[in-house]
Amino acid sequence: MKNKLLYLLILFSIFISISSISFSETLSTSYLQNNANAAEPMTILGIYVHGFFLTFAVGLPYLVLTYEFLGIRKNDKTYLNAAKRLSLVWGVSFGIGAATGTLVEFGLVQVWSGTLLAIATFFFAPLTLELYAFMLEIVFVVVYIFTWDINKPSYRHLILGIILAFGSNLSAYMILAVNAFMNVPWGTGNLVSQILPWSPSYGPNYVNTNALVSLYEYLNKYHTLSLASSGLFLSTGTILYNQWVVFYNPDLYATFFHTVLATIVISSFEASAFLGLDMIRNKDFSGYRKKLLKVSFGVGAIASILIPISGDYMGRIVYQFQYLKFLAFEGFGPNGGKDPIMGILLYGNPNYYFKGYNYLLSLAQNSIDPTNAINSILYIENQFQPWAFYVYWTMVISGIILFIFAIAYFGFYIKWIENIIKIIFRMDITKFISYASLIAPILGIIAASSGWAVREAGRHPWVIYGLIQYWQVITPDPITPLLSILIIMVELIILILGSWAIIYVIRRRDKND
Amino acid sequence: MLLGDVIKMTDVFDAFVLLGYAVITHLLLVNFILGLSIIIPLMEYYYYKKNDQDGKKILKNMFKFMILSDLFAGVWATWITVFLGGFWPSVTYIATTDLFASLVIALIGILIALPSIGIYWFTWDKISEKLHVLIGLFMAIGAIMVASGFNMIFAFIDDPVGLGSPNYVYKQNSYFSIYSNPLYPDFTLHRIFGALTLVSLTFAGAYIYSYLKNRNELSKKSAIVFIKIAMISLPIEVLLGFIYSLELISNTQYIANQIFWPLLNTSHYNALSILFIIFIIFIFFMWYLLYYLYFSIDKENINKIIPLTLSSLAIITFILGEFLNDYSRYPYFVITGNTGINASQFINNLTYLTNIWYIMSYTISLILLIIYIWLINRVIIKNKGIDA
Repeated sequence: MKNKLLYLLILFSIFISISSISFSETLSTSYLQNNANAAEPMTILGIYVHGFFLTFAVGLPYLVLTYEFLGIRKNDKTYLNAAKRLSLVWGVSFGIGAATGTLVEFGLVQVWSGTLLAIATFFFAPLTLELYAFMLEIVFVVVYIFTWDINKPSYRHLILGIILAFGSNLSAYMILAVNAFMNVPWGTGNLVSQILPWSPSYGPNYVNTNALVSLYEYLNKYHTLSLASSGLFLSTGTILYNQWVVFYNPDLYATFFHTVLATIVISSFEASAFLGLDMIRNKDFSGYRKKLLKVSFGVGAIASILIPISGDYMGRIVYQFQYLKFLAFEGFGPNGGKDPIMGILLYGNPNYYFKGYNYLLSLAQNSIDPTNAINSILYIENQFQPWAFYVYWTMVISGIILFIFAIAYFGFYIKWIENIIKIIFRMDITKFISYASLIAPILGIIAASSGWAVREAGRHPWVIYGLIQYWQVITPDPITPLLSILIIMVELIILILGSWAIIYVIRRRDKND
Repeated sequence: MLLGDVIKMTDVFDAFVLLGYAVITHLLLVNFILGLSIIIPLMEYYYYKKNDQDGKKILKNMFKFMILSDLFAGVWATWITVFLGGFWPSVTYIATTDLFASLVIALIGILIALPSIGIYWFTWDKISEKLHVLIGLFMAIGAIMVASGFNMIFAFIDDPVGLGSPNYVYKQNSYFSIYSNPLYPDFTLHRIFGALTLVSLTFAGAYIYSYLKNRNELSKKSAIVFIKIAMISLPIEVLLGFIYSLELISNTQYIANQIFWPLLNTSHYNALSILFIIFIIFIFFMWYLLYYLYFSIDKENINKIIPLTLSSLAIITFILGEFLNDYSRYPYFVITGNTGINASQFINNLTYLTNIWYIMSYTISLILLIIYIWLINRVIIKNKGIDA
């Protein structure tokens, strides 16, 4: 009855909120900026909720398939049971991911409707291929989960899981291709540097520069309304000559490997946390839980050791293609300065001098749109850096702790590491890893959330870096605070219900084991 | 054109057909979902009142069918979104802007329906029956909201109430001005009863076939329930269809001329009119089969082809009806009375595409449809796998 009342209340509130809205007669820049600012919180939360569930869909397969492989190879029911149970989590998170994906999809085409211009050009290939990956996932998630035969473990079933994992990773690759283009618009040649003069060339030029400049001017003048008139399509002409250019983006490779490793870290450590919690509660640090923990924490540990490599690659991409963001999260002042570690990593020279915001401001005068170029710098310097610096370093420190946990894990196999753990923490390796498994997923989630916050907010106010600004793609329909709050409520309900469903699926099967 | 030939997206007809194919396939699946979302909780309540445990077993099997259909319908929904954005960004923008309210209602409906489906499935036989029915009713409300939200798109492109000029984006007083569209209420009801008819006829045929094959009393009982639902929903749907036709004649003359040519005696002779006559014949033939099967279900000598014909005709007639509804607009995308806005005005010409996209889309989607049917056969008919 309470549920019913809650639903009715939500529905009633939505009707009241949207029926009382009047349309603005004029679409001024400030109106659109306010509208975009109102839409941002629900969009950000929606993407985070979607990302939370997709972390399992992308990262958990690596653990599930490891368990299944070990189960088949050793003919061990413990591993197979664990694989089966976790595959249900994989399925549930995929289902919730698909539902929240619908929410994100609506947000994209309905609230940020100007992105249809990107879907019609640069994003068409990755989104269509993502669709095919999604089809693959749908089919194999049903086939894989519902063809478990615990008494007859087979490599044939494992192959079904590998295909499913390929589908979910391919899907992630395609979506990250879109995101990578938003950060580094590869294939636009020197176009961005005409607007943001400190930017390098973004790969070969596969676009009609004149058409893109016209589009830029159209969006400045008519905002998304330009999409509703055939004039835009007739007068700008062809913009993009090569559909595949988004896949040549170096930021895509870095982002994909880094993201997949992060999902493996989080999902493996989350699975470990369930085992670790049970071991601590029951004060039993041996038996089947230890056996499973060694595998789950091991998968997370390997990913935690690899992740600094992809992180370093990502950092270099940011330095090369989004220098402003680099200045912010390294905490440079207006005149720049020296950073010995960065100097050594990037140039092999600890005394290398990194130029600061003032230098970029002097370059901004050469832009074809100096106002927006200057605003971009001022936003990063005054609004982004003050918080992004701390958030970025929260990510780095979380990653370092996870790296230490990962090294400690090898105490299971290397005596001197085990001894060091014993000396420092006065507990044996199993107990230490059990406790570490409770902290590790939290650190993983903090690191991933912080990383994405810095990455996405760091291209503000651009939706596509240097080309399209966020307020230029917002719907002219008013996004009222009440509507925004209601959507946020729905997102939070999905987050709570979805998390409950995952815990329920894991715990429910305990009775049957 | 050869594989890999470069074409511009201005190949309007190809893009129109591809979109139509995706829309019709999606609509077939979602109408099954809509119909089942309404029928299952109502039947559960009926069986709960009668304390009929066998009946509930059948409901669970139908629900498995619904879950599978929902998964695959989701793929097609994403496909439609991507292709609308890719091929028809302009019209997509106009629709998402002008129809903001109805699409929000549809979205809320999705967000109510999807978790309800999950909870309904996982709580089967695990919570009180009353509460379970209540969750089912939420599922039904969500599904009806989705249908009522998205049907505004079809009403809008047939009679674009709220379409502004010169840039097609309206500036009216509230989100809800679009609801003054005269086609909308009847069209939405027509779709809802259409979904009930599609489900009841298809399942009635399937269960009668099963009964004739195995003489299983449970199948017979289910078949009779579905026949009774169809006996109510089919005449209502026909009546609503008739009213919808009259509304098309008075508001959307272009489509009326395309489809009702023999009745209106206009100069728009084309194959669509012939298809419409076939469509009407199919409806009356299904009606006849429905009554025939109801009164002769216990006879020994019924040919098993008859119930299968009923199920197949229900699906074919649905596809035919949707085809008529969608294709009758061509070469226009949006109809404005006697004429319309040509689809070529909305086509994306900002980039190049190769034929590979079309070929891949048809090939992959056909493979997917085959897998869907295979899964239906495995999970529903052979009853293997999937347990809550």
